Formats: sequence, C-alpha cells, structure tokens
Amino acid sequence: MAQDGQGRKDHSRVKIGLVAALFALAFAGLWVRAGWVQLHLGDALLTQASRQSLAAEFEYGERGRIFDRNGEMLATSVQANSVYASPFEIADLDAAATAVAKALSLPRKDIRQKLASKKQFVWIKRQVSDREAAALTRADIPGIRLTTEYSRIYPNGHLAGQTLGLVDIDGHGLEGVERLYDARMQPGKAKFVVQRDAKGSRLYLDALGREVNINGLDVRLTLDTHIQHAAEQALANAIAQYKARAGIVLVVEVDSGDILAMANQPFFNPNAVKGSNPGQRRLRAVTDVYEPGSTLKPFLFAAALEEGAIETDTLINCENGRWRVANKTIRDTHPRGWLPAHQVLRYSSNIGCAKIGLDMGADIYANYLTKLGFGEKTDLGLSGESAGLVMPPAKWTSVDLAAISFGQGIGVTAVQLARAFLCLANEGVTRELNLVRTPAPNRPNAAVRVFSPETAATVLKMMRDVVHEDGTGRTARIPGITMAGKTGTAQKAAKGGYGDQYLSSFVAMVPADDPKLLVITMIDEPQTANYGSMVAAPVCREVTVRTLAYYGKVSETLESVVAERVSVDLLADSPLDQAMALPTEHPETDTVPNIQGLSVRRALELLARRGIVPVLKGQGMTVRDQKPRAGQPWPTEQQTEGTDDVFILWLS
Amino acid sequence: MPIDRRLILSINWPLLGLAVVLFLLGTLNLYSASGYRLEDGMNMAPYFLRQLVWGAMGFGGMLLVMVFDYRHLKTIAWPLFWITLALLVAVFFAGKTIYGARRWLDLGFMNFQPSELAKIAVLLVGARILAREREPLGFVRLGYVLGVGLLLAGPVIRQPDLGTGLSLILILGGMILYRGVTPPVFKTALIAIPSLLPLAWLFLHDYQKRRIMTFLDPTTDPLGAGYHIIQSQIAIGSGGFWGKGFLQGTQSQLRFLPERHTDFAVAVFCEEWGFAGTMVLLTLFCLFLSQMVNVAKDARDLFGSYLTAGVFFYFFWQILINTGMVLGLMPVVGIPLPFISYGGSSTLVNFCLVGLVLNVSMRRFLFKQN
Repeated sequence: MAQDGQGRKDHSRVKIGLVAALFALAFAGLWVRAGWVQLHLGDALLTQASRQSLAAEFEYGERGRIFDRNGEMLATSVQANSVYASPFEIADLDAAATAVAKALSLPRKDIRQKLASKKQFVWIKRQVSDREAAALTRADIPGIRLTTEYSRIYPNGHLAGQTLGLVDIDGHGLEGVERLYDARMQPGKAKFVVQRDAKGSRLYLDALGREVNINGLDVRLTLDTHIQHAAEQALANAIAQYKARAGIVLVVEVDSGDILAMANQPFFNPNAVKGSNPGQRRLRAVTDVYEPGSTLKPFLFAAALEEGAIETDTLINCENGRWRVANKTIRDTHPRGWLPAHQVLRYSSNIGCAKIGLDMGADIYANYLTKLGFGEKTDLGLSGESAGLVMPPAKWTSVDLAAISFGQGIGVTAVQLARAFLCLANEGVTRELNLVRTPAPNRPNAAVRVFSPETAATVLKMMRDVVHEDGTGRTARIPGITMAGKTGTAQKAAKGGYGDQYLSSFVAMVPADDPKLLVITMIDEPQTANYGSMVAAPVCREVTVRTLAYYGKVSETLESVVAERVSVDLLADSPLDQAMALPTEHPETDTVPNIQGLSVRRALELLARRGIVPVLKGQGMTVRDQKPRAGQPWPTEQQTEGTDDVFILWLS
Repeated sequence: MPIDRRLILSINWPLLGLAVVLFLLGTLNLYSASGYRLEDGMNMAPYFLRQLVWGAMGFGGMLLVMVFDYRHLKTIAWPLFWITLALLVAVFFAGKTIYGARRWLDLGFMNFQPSELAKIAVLLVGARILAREREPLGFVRLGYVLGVGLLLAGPVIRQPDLGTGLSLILILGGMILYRGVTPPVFKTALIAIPSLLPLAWLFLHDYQKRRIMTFLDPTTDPLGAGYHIIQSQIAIGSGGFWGKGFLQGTQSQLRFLPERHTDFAVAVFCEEWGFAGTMVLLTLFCLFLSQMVNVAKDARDLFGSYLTAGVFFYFFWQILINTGMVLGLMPVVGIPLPFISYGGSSTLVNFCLVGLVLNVSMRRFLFKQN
C-alpha cells in the first residue's frame, strides 16, 4: 500500500510537471507576445492608430461683408452646398454617373468623365440648390459627397452692382469693391485636429481653435442705399425715356467728399454674373472717359477770374453764333452778341469761352486743369479706373485751346468731374472723394487751394444764375431751393470728326451759396432729345429732390432745406411719383409669394427684384418663416421707407 | 444541510478572491469598452450593468454549488450526459438559427445554448470515467473516453460551433493528459496529432479556412477578415508600456476595435493599461490557474482531482486561446476570455465552476481523517 502510494505520488508528480510545463510554456508565450506587440511594435502601432483616428481638417471663415454707410447690408456670404467626388471610392462608375446626373440634372457624359479621373478629389458642381443637395443625399451614392462653401450674395440685386463688383466661385474679388478690398475681406483658415471614428463621423477635440474668429473683415462704404436707389431709378427712367445707351449719376456729400450714390446704367446684378456682359459690369463712373462739354466751363471761368483775365462783367463778343479760329468755325446754339462774362456762362456760349481761353493761354489754363485733378486718377483705387485724356499744353493748337475751353478735346471721367466740382464747392480747396468709410482710406495728397474763396463764390453765383435766371439749367430748378448748376451737351467724337451723338450732362450743387450736396448726371447718347438741359437736368433734379427729402427727415446738415421740405415734396409730387414707380419690366403678382422653404439666396433675389431688402433673423440657409405671409399685399413704398422690419425672413 | 465550520475554514480563499478580483476588473473594463464617443461626449451602452447582474447571479450559483458534496455529482454525471446529448440532437432538428448557426433552443423567455451544458457534462463524465481507471490509459480505454467526448463535441461542431466543439475536446484532452497515458499511446499521439491536423482542413467551412488564411497573413484582406486581427494589434500596441488611461482608449471608443465588449474585450484593457496592465492581468490569471492546480493536487479523491483538472483546463484553454487570438498568435475563434468578456451565461458558468473547485478544496480533509 505504501509502495503503491509512493508510485502514485511519483506518477502524480510527473502529471503535475507535465501540466505545469504546458502551463508555463503557454503563459511565457503570451507574455513575450504582449511585450513584442506593446513594447517593440508599440510606437509604430501608435502611429498607425493616430493615422486612423486623427485627421487634420480645415475650416474656412466667411468672407467679409459690405455695408452701406448706415449699416445696410450690400454683400454677404451664405453657406451653400457643393458636390465633390472621391473617384477612387466609386466602384460602379456608370451607376454613380447616372445617379449624379439625375440628381443634379447635368449631362451624364460629363459626370462620367469626371468620375473616371484618377484624382482624389473632383468638384462635380459648386454651390448647388438645396433641392439638388437633398436629392443627392437621398441617393446616397458612395464616393459622392457634399461640403459647405460660402457663396456670395448681394441682397439688393443690381443696387450699386458695378461698384460692389463680383467674386469668383472661390471667393476672390474680381471687380469693384470686392477686388479693391479683397485682401481685407478674405476669410482666414483654421486648422483643427479632428477625431474620426470607424464610421467616419468627426469629433472635434480642439474646441479652442474654433473660437478664433476666422471671418474676413467687413467693409463699410460711403454709399447710402436709399440715395443709391433713388439715383438708379431716376437714371433708369431717363435712359428708358430717351433711349440712351448708358448713363451715370453721382451724388457726393460736399463736406466729407463721401460718394453717397454712384449709379451706372445699364445695371449689373452681381447675383447673376453668368447672364451679364462686360458693358453691364463696367463701373462707368470711373472707367469711361467722356468729353464733358459745357460742364467743364465753370473751371475756365474760375481760372480766368482767379488769374484776373476777366471780371464778372467783362464784355465779350459772342459773334452772333459763328466764329472762326484758325481753320475751324465755332458755333453757338443760341447766337448772342456782346455779353458780360457771367452771362457767357449762363447761356453757355462756346465762342465766349473760347475767347476767354485763348486770352488766358494754354499753360495757365492747363495748370488749373491739372491742379483740379484732370488727367490723373482719383484716390478711389478701383480697378479699371481711367486717368482721362489731357494733352500736354505744349502741343495745344489754338483750336485745341478753344475747344478745351468749352469742354471738347479733353477726356474726363465722371469721378474726375465730381472731384473738380468738389473743389469749387469747397471754397476753392481740393478734396478727395471717398467711397469707403471703414477701413479709413489713406490720403496721399494734401488738400491744395486752387481758387480763392471769392473766385469760388463768384463761379457758384454764376452757376446759380444758370438755374435760377433764364439760363440753360432752368429745368433743374427746385422751388424753394437754391441750386448752382451747369448743363453740358457734348458732341461725341466719331470716326473722322464729331458725329450726331451726344453726351448730355448736368452738374448740380445745393444750396447754391454754400453747397452741401453735389449731383452729377451724364446720359450717354440719348436718342429722342440731346440737350443737357432737357435730358440730364431733370434727372439731377429728381435725384436732388429725393436726396433732400430723405435727409430732411433725419439730417441736420441740410437745415436750410428742412424748413422748405414741405413745399419741395408738394411741388415735386407728381413727377417724383412717376420717377419712383416700380420698374414695369418685372410683372409680378400683386401679393407676396410663398418664400418659405426657398434658399436665402433665392428669396433675397426675389425680393430684391421688388426693391425690398428683408431683415434676416436667425441663422441658416433656408427660409423658415416670412412676414408678411404669402398672399398678403406687398408692402407699399411708404412702408419700406425708413423702417427696417417691413419684410422679415426667419432662417433655419 | 448543516455546514461544518471546518468546511468554511478550508475554503481556498485565494482562488475565491482571485475570481472576484478578475470579475471586477472585467466589469470595470466593460464600462470603458461599452462607451463610445459621439460629437457630444461619451455614450454608454449598459453592458457593464448587465454584467454586474449576471455576476451577482453567478456568485449565488457558486455558493449553491459549494453547499452540497461534490461526490454526489458522480451519480448525476451519466444522466446529465444523456440529457445534454438529447438537447443537442433537439437543437439539430428544432434549434433557432442566428447568424447562420443553429445553436440555440428557444425557451420562450430566453435562448438556451445546450453547448454550454455540454461543457459541464464533459467535465463530469470525464472525471467519472477517469477516476475509475486504475492504470494510465491504453489505446482501448483512450478510444472509449474520446468516443464519449466526441458524442458531445460532434453535434456541437456540426451546429457549426467549432470553437466550443474544440474546447470540449481540449478539456477532455487535458484531463486525459492529467490522468496519464501509457508510453506507446503518448508516442503515437506525439506523431499522429500533428500529422492528422492537416486532414482537419478538409472538414472546415469556407469561413473557417478564410480565418486561418487571414491569420497567416492579415494584410490580404485588411477591411474584411483581417480587420479584427489588425485592429486588435493596433489597439494593444498603441497602448505602449503604461497605456492610454482608463476611458482613454481611442481605438475602442472610436469603434475601430470590433467585438470590443465580447471576444476582444481584453484588447481594450491592454490599450488603456498598457504592457504594465497586461502583465498584471496575466499574472492574476496565472495565480488563479495555479490555485486550481494546488486544489487538484490536494483533492481528497481522484474524482475531485480530475474534476478540478477539468475545470482548470476549461479556464486554461479559454485564456490561452482568447489572449492568443487577441495578441495575434492564433486565428480568430469565437472564444471569450473568462470574467473579462461580456456574456451572461458564460459568467454564470464560470462562477459555478469556480464553486465546484472550491467545493473540492473545502472537503479535502473531511473524509481523510475518518
């Protein structure tokens, strides 16, 4: 028994040993393997883990917005969906191409070609509509994705369209203010570390980085939406009435040099770049060079008075309407004989002006023109600005000098003309024009005195007579308001001489003795009438009345006007109402349509067509609610004026 | 039934303690493994809570198993065997199919898996037969024991549930090894098993073959069958020496790691606690198993000894195969890690089997003195 027990014990020791060996071997294997994986391969596997779960992602800010002087929004960015593809993820090319083509209504062939490329990333369609985006999300095609981008919208449609300019699809400013302040408005880019889970969802770890404001900086213009609107409508009506080719209206606040309105016809709607042509996009007030004609004459008189070449009552023989200089005959529309100098301006006698110019001499006159800034770009800095055309005085023949004296043979832009008149209005001291309030523009040129205050006052007095006596500017007269004005009817140079096309222009400054407001109107090639007095002066008058009426409610700067506002409005009523009637080329329903569910962009365009700038509440890309509701009448002009919340859109 | 005070004193307390510690570690790990990150913070799946409930039930079952004398189990060994066999046959004809495998019997209130019962049946019948063998097993006796085992393992493998079927054979094999075989049998087995193994390939399902192929080279199918292996390696390896910290395991919480609360739960542990944690866990398992070896050695009778050896191998193979798989030493087989992987019935069975071993250990002196 003992031996048996002994044997059993031996045997069991062998058994235990066998099991223990197996046991030890197995666990040793596990330990070694764990060490190998976690210690030796650890770093490499950690890198692999990070690559799997961490990704760098960029977020782009919003391009800076553009506001008018009162904070009215002129350009902003809204989020839009864009469609891109990761071609290498697409297994079934044909099926994907068919589905995408259906969802986006694009030609299938083009899409298939894009999807067949070997790239990692291909844009399919940028800035698609919400409906297209939804269709694509429903289709859920592998390798086809949506991303949000910012797209630029101009809530006021064509209002100041050329001034605002446009951006390309990548948000780079191409023209106008968009180009001028592109660097300022460019949004920043923020990099985040993003955690990705196995399903591809993104989890943001780094909240810190996202708090940084990466939006571009805003730009605030000197334009006033209301005045711009009035100027554009008056201009549009005149262009339609006289079947003119183009037109410009500039409204400038004299005390600051701020451009309150810069209207250019034909209009350009930067929301619809595709359908536009270069002629519409041109900011004519700075790009187009015109022979100004008689509107240049006040500067001749100012120069001559300053130089003592004439007095206001110096008698000048206007030769009964025909006078030969060298081999050219100069004609006046209204033949006169001997006239005192101030009446030469009032009746706009070319012969009288030529004589004054010839008397003064090319060098002196050219010097004044240069000091006034003709032949030199303004400080606005807008792309495409022209410096105008002023020949060097040494090359002027007597015919040239005579012509330039009455505003032919010299090329100026509307803004140059405005700058020059600003000098006259500013008691003879130069002043630069402003288009932008924020950022404050730098002013490289110091103000220079060109004329004495007396000279400036004298010329203004003469220009007052143009309007208030029996001068050429009578049609611009506004009862109760004193206005200094000057008409211009320049023959346009055609091939081989002057043809039968004209530039009708008018310059108005109110009040006449101490101007606060400068309005310039140019109507290019009117067909049914020519004279500045007939074509341009009424436009200037309408714009001036509208501007004064607008300021009369809120501003103290035109106090003298405020007292007479009532009479202005009363008298101006009938023509004004016509002028301000909504353009008839957009026949629309009489009631507010249902805007709910539309994208913000569409809604704004739709309302902009009615001249309504809605107030946007909340954040988002689609319109959730609207006031007034669908079916209600459009808000009237009186309602939209001044108040902010006539039309409200709630976004989601 | 009156319980002798000496019985309480003779309980193998270290084994009990280790089992509880391992279970608590596992539950803590499940808390982390069941969380996943979303945009707005962590989301918690309630696995760890359910595991706690099952653990409590298991603990109760363990106490229940300890109360009666394990020698009574001799009498129910064969009846249990036949019942199990009947149930397995029932599964074959009327089982419920989930994920293409027919493994469950629908009891109305729960799905019952007879293959779990087969593990206990193999233990009891194996210990019962081996305890009667006077000599190391010759060819005939070995054939008999293996035959009995295959009666249970066969239907399980047919379900198909290769993992459980193989573990039945492995448990029985371990017990046979512990009992001992005659030298000729040992030598034959040493040659026969490795040479017959390739033949088994013919009987494997396609998916099983694929698993073995991808184990040999996971990169052939990194997003399919190799995904488990690769992701498990990345999770464990990225833990480094000290780990990423509790609840910080990015691979599991970002859902890169598959089956992270069941078969690959230990990978979450290794990721968050690093090599240091892995060593602690393996040491705990080592101690847990070695306590069982002690119990088997000191058991009062051969039945108790073989029973304990069976339980030992039951745990041993699971630990070896699961950690081996997670560490990339073995192909992917659906075998959970005791106490660490989530699973209701397996937690219940684990505690009951620990109870069985404790039962053997606490009664080691009782009858020797008589």
